[in-house]
Parts: sequence; structure tokens; C-alpha cells
Amino acid sequence: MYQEEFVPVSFKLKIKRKYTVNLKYWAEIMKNIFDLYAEEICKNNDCHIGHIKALFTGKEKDYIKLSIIKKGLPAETDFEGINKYPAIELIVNSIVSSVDQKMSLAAMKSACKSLEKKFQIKTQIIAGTKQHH
Amino acid sequence: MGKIVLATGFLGSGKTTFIKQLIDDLSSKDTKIALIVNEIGEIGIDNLFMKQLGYNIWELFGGCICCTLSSGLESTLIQLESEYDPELIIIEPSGAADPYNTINALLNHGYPREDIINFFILDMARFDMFVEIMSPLFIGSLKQADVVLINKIKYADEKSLKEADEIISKENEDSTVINIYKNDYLVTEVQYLINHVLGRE
Repeated sequence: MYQEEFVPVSFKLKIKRKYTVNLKYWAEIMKNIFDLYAEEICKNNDCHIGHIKALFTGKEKDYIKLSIIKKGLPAETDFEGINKYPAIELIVNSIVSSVDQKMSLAAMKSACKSLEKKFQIKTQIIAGTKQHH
Repeated sequence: MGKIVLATGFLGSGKTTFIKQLIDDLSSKDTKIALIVNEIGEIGIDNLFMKQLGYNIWELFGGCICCTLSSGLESTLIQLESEYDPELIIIEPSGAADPYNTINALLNHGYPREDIINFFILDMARFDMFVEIMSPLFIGSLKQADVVLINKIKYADEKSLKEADEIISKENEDSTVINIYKNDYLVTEVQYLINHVLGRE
């Protein structure tokens, strides 16, 4: 049910910094980016968020998980691990009513651009990612 | 045949968090568990997350187990039973799945209803959306629930909580209702219910 209203958009987001930082700092960067992204895609839209989620998996059992479920509610992040990383690659599933891939990628691009200077990051979005089995 | 735990609820309601806590708890009690995850989207983030934590997952992709993938669910169950013989099978349907059809697929496979326990996770942060625009899925899910886990209570006001309570009583007065505070799903009542379905009273 509701699969037609809530169409999933999947992509990868690579974020790079000059210096390594811990997962707590990366989670903070992710939170800022995705809060802006959600604000952007819901801006001119009577949209309902099904689920916006992103996952980074690192060495051993390191991870950062991010979740947004409603317009206006900030992203929630959860992370485990003590390693530091100079770059992270996120897998993103964004399920928002009335938002297609084109709108979604444009919103992410805009969110990333706004924060590149503040967090001294470089970002790259890779669209149309499929999982292989 | 193993017993079945279903974790149902809309996208983002907290199904994966519930299952993670459940598996952590049951693993410490040496329960042989299998986990089947059906996720919508081209990439299964919940699957990847569980794998990163070291769990083996049986994934169902390319559709929804309540409709297009119901035969996929049945063949996965057959494979699981013959190759692994788990004591408990935990199934996480996608957040858009209709629990009625999922339960029917299990009944058709031969599971008695009393061997299935369906935890419906109600996300109170979006209670207004469920009532206003997703009523068929919401009411249908409530009717099929054995246990209603009321989650994300911190985002709900008194009026919504009262309304939720009234709707649950009207649609499924036999369900057990458990309020979840501070993301701690494994309250004593949940552990008791799982032990009951496993015959460990």
C-alpha cells in the first residue's frame, strides 16, 4: 500500500575533509546537510516524509545512521565506533511523497553547497545506485 | 516450524530499532533466530546496517512481501526451515506493507495464527498523518496487531495520545498496548510475550 505515493530515491553521497575527524563530528556534518535537504525538498511542496535515511559503514563495526521522519523534526543520528575518517560515503534512501529523483538530487546538491565552506568539506553525489546481490 | 515475530509499522516508525534490541536480548539467551527483511528502495539500508553489526539477513528485494513478493516470502521460509531450522523467525516487512496480506501469506504457508505474534509500532510523531491521509493502512494495521507499541511519545500531545488510545480500543480491544519511552522497547511485557510465544513460561 502507498508504494505509488512514496517512491524511493536512492543515491550515494561522498563527503571529504582535509583532516580526519571522529564519527561524532561526521554525524554532526550529516545532520546539518540532511536537515537542510529535508527543508529544501519540503519547501514548495505539500509533501509527507515517509523516511529519509542514510548510512555510513566503516572499519570493523563502525557506523553512522541518520533518520528524518517528519518535516520540521530534526534529523536523528546514531553512531558507534572510535575510528577517525578523512572521508565518508553514505548510502541514502529518501522516501518522500511527490518528490522524484531529479528534485531530490537538486535539493541535496543545494544543501551540500551551502555547507561546504562552513564544514570545509567537498561533496559528490552519485545517482542511481543499485545494490548488488 | 519456528515461531514468527512480525514487526510492522509505517516507514521510519522504529521497526529496525525494535528488532535490533530484540535480537540482542534473544541472542544472549541462545535463541536460534533468523531475520527476514523486506525493504523498499533500490538499496536496503536496514539490511546493510544489520550486516554491519554482524547479523545474517535473508533479504527480499524487488517488491513488497504483502503483495508482489508473497511467494518470495514463502520460498524463503521453506529454505530457512530446511537449512537452518530457527526457533524464532523475525520478519520486518517494508513500511508500506499491509500486515493483513503478510499474515495471510504466513497462514497459507501453514503457520497457525497462535505461532505468530505481530508487534505493530505506532509512531506518534506522525499520528495526524496516519489519521488524516493514511487511515486504511493505519486501521488495517491496528486490526492485525497482537501488540501495539506506542513509540515516539515525546512528539505527541495529550490530545493525540488520548485519540490514539480511543482508536486502538475501538479497532482492536484485544491487543496489548505498551507505551515506549526513551527508545527502550524491551520492557518486561515484550520479553514476557516473546517467551510466551516461544513456550518458555
